[in-house]
Amino acid sequence: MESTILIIDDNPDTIRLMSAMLREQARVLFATNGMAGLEIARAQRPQLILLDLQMQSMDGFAVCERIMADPDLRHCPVIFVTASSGVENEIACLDAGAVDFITKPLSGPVVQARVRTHLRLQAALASLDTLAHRDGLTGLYNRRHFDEQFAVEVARHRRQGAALGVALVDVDHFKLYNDHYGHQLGDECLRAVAQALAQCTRRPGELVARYGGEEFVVLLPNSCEEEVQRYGQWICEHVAALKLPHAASPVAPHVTISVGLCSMAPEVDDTPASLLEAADKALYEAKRGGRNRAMLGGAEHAKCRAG
Amino acid sequence: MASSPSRSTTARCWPPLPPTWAGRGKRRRRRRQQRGGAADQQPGVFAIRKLLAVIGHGPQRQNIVTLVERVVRQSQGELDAARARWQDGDTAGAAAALHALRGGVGSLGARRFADATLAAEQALRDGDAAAVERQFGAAQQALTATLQAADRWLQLEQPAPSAAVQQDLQAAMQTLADMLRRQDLDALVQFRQLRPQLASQRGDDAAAQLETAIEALDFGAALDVLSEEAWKAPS
Repeated sequence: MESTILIIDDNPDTIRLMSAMLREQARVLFATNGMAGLEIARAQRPQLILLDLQMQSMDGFAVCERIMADPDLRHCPVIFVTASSGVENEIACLDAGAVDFITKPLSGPVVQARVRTHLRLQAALASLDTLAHRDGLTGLYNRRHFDEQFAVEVARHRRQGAALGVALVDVDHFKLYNDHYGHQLGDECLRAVAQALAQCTRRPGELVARYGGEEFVVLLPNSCEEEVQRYGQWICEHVAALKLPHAASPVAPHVTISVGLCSMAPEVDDTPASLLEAADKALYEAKRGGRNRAMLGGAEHAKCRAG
Repeated sequence: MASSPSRSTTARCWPPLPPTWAGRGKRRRRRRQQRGGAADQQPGVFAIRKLLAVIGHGPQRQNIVTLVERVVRQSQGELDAARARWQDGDTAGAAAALHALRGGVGSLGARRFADATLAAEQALRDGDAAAVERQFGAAQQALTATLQAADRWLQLEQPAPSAAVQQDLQAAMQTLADMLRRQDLDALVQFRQLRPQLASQRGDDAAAQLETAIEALDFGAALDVLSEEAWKAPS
């Protein structure tokens, strides 16, 4: 994927010049003042920001301060572009949170080399992030990422008094599938189910992750009982509709899933573990009830307070 | 005696075969480079050879041509305005104007001009009127030399052959509008490709109006132009 660089500079000549130098390396966006630059940065999430230090309305330090204070932007590296050289100035730039600085008048090879270095670094960090948060087999988020996000969402829903839905999904008789078809096809099966779940889980804030083995977990923000029940039913139908053959299953001739659901507006005592426990109990009930179905648990807490 | 490959080719082919288009293009470029050899590299005055080398001959070269054209057209006026501000007692305004001017002109390798404006800014900060006057004089001298050199280079820099490709105008305009909304600098290249088609279908005045806004990097104004009724009409 092509990288994106945002140039924030109130001098169109400098923007034009840097764009010409950098277009081979990345898509180039620009803003001619700090406020517009922050807006574009939030909307476009560039891999790198080149920030002019001396601007008329809001100077580079003020813009950088806002970038560093914004949780969505603070990971985006900033390179200051400055006509002022000298050690003190360099230190001030780096102290402000910039990763580097480029001095004016601009030199093409220097601008290209510095930007290339930081884009490479960003690409490496993105790869590391993928390795740390994604499941290698299915491409879904992994359990570590789920746990992090789950804690954040429980706290947020507790503050807002909103209902948070959780779904635990288990592929029915997956051990029999592996025994019958072999592990390679078993992996294919997991990938297909993961893809189906991802297709069903697209609303903003929803998150689907591989929980381990043949288990998946889904976070459904602002979802009351009725909504999570509908969701559970829907994913069961969606996976069944894949018609992946499962000759060894006593449930159906194709791959099916069981789903344990829970919807809860977390109280002070409710933890991520208590929500998961409720969903896990519901999953157990779904399996005990014959599999290929979705069951709702934790009914005593599950008040639909979300709009 | 061993002869060079080109001589032996010439000797075998009579009458000489017309050169291929590709060969002719390369030769033309080489000639242009030879003529512009001195024009693009006058240390301290106007030195953009390294810049051109890193940019190459793609569509971004036009951005440099446009930049040099703007500098030649406007920077004398901008220096005059900076001096007038100082004479009116607005030292901060004069320093800001010099700073902005240095960004554009200095990046074209005008080191002498950059040094003079830096010294003028320092003198403005120090309140040393005699030094300011002296440095404005030095900046004027350096700028004159830079503008002459830049103008010479522009004369040698042939306009690139139009890369305009006949395309679905409505779809291409939509792409242009999206780029303008995103503040994406590819809008410059997209517009230059579309311009001949736009001029023939919507009129040269309308195309020129849009061009003025886009080339000034005022993408908001360009979107305003596009939202006017004349642009909404189906082509």
